[in-house]
Amino acid sequence: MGALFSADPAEGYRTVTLDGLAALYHRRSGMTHVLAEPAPDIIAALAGTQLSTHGLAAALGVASSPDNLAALAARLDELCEAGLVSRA
Amino acid sequence: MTEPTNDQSQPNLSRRRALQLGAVGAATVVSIRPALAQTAGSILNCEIPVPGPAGAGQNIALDGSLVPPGTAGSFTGSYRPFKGEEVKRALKGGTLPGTSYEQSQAYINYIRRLQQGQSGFTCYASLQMPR
Repeated sequence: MGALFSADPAEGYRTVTLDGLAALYHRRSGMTHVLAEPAPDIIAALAGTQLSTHGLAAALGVASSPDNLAALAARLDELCEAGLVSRA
Repeated sequence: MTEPTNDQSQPNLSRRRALQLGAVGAATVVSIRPALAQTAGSILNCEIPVPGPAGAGQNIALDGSLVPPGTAGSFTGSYRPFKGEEVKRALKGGTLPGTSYEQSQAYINYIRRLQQGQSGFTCYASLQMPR
């Protein structure tokens, strides 16, 4: 996979866990998002670093199966659209 | 996120069940956008009379202060109040509708001097809010 994904370093977010969901305040944009698993974990894995989907799967401890990679790609699309993850 | 703290450095994999990645078509991010569309309508329709009832019959000097009618260089008050939208545009460098450049400057300076308790102050203050 060619694309690399990154997120702001950990200080760039403030997270509050709410019963299985997470409210995440993104300081740079001033916006708040409600996230369901695995979005917070993906952001944590990408914080201050750059990973491909393969690298992200490894960081999350999941197998790089085609299904998993497709699911991660869908999650990354969502997070890029929300402005929480950047695609290089 | 199963950790209750702000610790974002590494997901704690050993304590947790397998991560649910979700289906391709599922949604895991909901962005909260402030409901400004509705409030913006009411703010921009609010009115600022120039001058307010307390200044009725007085003129507006170029610096926005109230002066007796007939004072040289002053303007009579506007026959109608201005809408928030109109004032917002004028604050950005336009002129108030139906006024000359100097007259508009006088009115804008009057509006800028409004204090709490004066008619139109709340409307003017709302225009100052970001976005």
